[in-house]
Amino acid sequence: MIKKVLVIDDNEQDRKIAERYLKKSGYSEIVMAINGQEGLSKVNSENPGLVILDTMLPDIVGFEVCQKIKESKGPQAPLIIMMTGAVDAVDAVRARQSGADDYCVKTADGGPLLAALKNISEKDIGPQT
Amino acid sequence: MEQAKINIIIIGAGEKTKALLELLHSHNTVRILGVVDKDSSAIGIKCAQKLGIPTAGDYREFLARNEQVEIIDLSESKEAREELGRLSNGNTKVLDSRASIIGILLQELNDKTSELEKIRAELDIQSWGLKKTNEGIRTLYKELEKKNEELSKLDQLKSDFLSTVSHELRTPLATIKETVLQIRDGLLGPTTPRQQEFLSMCIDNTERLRRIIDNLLDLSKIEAGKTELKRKLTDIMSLVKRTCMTFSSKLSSKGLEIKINFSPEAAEVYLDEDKIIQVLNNLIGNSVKFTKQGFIGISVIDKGDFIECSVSDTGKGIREEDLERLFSKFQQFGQAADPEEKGTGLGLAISKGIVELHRGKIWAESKLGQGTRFIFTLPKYNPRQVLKERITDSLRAGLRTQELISVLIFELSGFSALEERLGRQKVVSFLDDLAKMLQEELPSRERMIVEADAMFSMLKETTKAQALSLKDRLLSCASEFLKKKRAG
Repeated sequence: MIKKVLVIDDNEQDRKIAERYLKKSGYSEIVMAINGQEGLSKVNSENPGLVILDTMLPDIVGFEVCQKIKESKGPQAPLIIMMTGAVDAVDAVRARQSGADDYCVKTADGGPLLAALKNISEKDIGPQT
Repeated sequence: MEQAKINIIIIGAGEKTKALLELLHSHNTVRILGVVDKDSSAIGIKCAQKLGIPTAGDYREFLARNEQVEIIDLSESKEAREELGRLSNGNTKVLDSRASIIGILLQELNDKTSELEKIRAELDIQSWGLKKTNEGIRTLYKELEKKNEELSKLDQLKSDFLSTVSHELRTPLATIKETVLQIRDGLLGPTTPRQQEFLSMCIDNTERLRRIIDNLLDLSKIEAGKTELKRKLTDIMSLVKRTCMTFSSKLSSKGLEIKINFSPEAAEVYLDEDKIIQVLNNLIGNSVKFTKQGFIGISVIDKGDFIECSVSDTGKGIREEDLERLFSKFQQFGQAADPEEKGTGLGLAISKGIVELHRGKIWAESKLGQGTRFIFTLPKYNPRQVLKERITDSLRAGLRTQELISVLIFELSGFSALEERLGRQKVVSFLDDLAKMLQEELPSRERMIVEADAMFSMLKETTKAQALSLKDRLLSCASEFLKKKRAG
């Protein structure tokens, strides 16, 4: 059961959009990180059940962050949805290879994120209501 | 000649057997006589059954007397090995899993399988990535479409706003100007010369304001696609000459020379005279405004399919990075020599709109310190193209207003005179040509009713009978209208 969600994105606008749609999907505990380093340390300290991860971060490439999370946490690793502003087939494949559970494009209406969250909640037991 | 097949019997039915069966069953030099295992539900037995290979609990079932047989023992049982070992003779060869060739084969098989699995996993990831990307692109495309729609709505709103506001501004301005004029000219009592001077200033500025509003109105009309060209065939040379004349006093007062370069033959272009004069006035006016000394060059060259007009000057020129913004709204570069001639920043945007409405192009070339050259082209038209354009324009106008019924009336005047001059044959073929062209240009040909004297395009929801009865009513209305018009 996912309780906590960590959003790793350097763009404030994108973090806000993600937060809004996470709340809309019933996730109440949301933690933010503005770069890969902060994201990695918060994965350890906050222990989220789900991570929303931007592909392009200022310090570490998103795919690397994804891989590090999955490797360090093993079977206890959180689910990871990678989000991108520039959709690209090579990136999508890289995301999957890095262990991402889903890959979606950023839009203002958050449609793809909502769909990905719905997929995740079907996989998981979903957020606590 | 068919190659002799090797007959084999496989003993034991585990994973290895299954792999071997999959590898060998379609091989054309191998005939698998059967698979043997006491456990009839073993994985290798199942596999053999699926592949249509006989199975049994005892190998003896597959041994015929005079047949070369190779028995492959994969059972890994000691008893089986010992028993089978005794079988080895001229006709029967027994290999077991310890035989090096079998070991290599099985190892190879294992490697291949795991490699295949790796490739399949990789392919799965690739296809997952592609699927996700496609989803993303589709979403983005939809978003783009939505944004585009919103933008064009906003643009329309802006144009509507601009034209409304401009109209509202024009009326009071006319009143102000008229009032001030009357005061200045002493119609409302005596004024001192100093007062008159100030009032004149007031009038000049009102005039400037009116020019700006007119320009805004022109531009908003062009942008809203509401500008209609009143075109006719015009001699472009004489039009340019006439426009140049209006600048002669200004040119001589600034001591500028005018150099003219025209193609020798007169060229007729299908254009809106007032609008093209507006473009020329703007271009020549700009050149005069920004040129302190030297000359203004004007040329009209016949380039075959189109006419190229250009206005060049020896002014201070425009920086290269400014050239592309030149035709955008509210762009002004450089200060006019005379503050009273301050422009509105709209002239070139309007000129561009007008030239493009004529399906021409406009651009500028310039070198800083050496001068600027503005060039615009106007395509030449043949009558067929003119007619074609008129039809598509009226159709588009009809679509834009979204009126339920649009009637296109084609009136051919002077028919008998034409017949007399050209001969009946030519007139008939011309009419046929015309009808064909109309049919080509009008949308959804299958929804057309073509009669001897008329053609009608139907709306989607209308049946042919409805359309015909409507046609009769329309025709009687139209002929009534035309009769009245002629009488009046």
